[in-house]
Amino acid sequence: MGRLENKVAIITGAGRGLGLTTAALFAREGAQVVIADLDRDRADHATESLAAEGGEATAFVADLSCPEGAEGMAAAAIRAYGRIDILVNNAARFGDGKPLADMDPDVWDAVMRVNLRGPFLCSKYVLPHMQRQTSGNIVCVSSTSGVLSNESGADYNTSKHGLIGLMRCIAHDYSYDGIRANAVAPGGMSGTPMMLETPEENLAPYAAQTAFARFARPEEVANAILFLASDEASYITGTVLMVDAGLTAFHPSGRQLQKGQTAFLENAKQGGSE
Amino acid sequence: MTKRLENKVAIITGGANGLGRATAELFGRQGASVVVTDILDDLGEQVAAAIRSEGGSAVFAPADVTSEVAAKRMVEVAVAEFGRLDILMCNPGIQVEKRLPETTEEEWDRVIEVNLKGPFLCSKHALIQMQKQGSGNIIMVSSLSGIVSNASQASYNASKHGVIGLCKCIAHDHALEGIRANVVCPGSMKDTAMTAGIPDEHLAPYLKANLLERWAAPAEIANCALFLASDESSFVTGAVLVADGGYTTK
Repeated sequence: MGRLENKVAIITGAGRGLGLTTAALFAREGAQVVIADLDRDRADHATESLAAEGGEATAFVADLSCPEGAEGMAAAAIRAYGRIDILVNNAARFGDGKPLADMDPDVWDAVMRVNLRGPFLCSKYVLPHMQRQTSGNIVCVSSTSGVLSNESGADYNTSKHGLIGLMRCIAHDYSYDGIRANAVAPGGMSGTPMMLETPEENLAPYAAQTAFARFARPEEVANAILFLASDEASYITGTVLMVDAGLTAFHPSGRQLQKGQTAFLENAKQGGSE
Repeated sequence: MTKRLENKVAIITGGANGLGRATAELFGRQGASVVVTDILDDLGEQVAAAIRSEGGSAVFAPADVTSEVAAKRMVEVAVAEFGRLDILMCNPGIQVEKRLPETTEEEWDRVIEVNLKGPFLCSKHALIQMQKQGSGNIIMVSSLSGIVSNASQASYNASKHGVIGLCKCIAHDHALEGIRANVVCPGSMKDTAMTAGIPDEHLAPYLKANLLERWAAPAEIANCALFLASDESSFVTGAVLVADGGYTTK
């Protein structure tokens, strides 16, 4: 029996990247999945790929950062499957990587709209259904940027900090309704569209600073979302689960030492194989 | 369904009752070979027998975690019985319900010895084995007292904060050897050895202060240990998984 058997899950931004990986994992674990995405082709393609694996999925296409889109998403889930057990607020975007003094206010607004207004609205319209059921579970995809600073991205960073605040307040306000809310905070992931759109030189320092000197695979983050979304996490609410290979746990100077250690071990390995 | 700890060997210290027992039994059901250790011989043997009766694989190894000889021996038992050591869960803890002026030197030392020296010694000898394998996974049980203060338990609180530091340093130092280390911070569990001696009126505020307004069941925290112990959490290291019913959220 799957770990999400008989559960209905909405995943935003599920047309590609981490959202799609999570949707596929949820479907394999027995959930009925609503693939919510801005793009029709992506959503349809994702839905077909889940169905081809034997999963149950429905596409919903809308701009989730406007009330009509978010409300429509909740209604579509109810229409298709009769209930909503899990909402994964995953859809997100980066800004254009500029320091604050150079930041375009329109880019700031666009980032806040997708990363913060979207999760607010999606949660707002899903929560009444969960209240009626007296059960439900919201997982927000924050970031290491929701906990520490990052370089040249105050818009993204602020939105990901804000998402943790939003999540905690949902946990607080709706605990009596049997609703849990948590966040995962991944560092960078290899191969996701958000990462591929970012110049390599901006990303390299982050990978080097994780304990494993690499980015996460999307599957590794999806597994953490699955854990929080499942009944196994029944005593966890209001929590931020770091999926960052120690990026936020280690002393910054220690991380630099770690980099040196990586190089050292690589050299030793090469020397050893000769 | 695939078992989530298939072919893994796990030591659960303090495995005779409470959270340790729940974790040992869950790990056994998920396919791990389990070395149950405790100072309570009869109960520990019962846990190992219960795992075996469900078709699992388990032995009991009596051990006082505050002794380096015992810590070394439990690792030797795991290797002798099952060939390797993949997972160490450092679970035992004791508390003294006193404010600092009333706490004796002996009480302070005893709390630090069980709660902090125990995880140090067990991890030390587990790490030596895990380094040989190039893989391993250490889980430490801290507490919400590892994150925030609590009333009349300064020695316990200090030890549980310390556990988090110890675990992060292990995660840092051994990441490139394929070893992960994480902490779970449970809220209070009723009817475990930890809460047994505490008067109800001291416990009541904890119950009121968490969002779920109920105690954690050991099985719920064992599920957290399972996530951290499994390969599902392969990018999680140096992390603190707070499973406190929202106690530290509001």
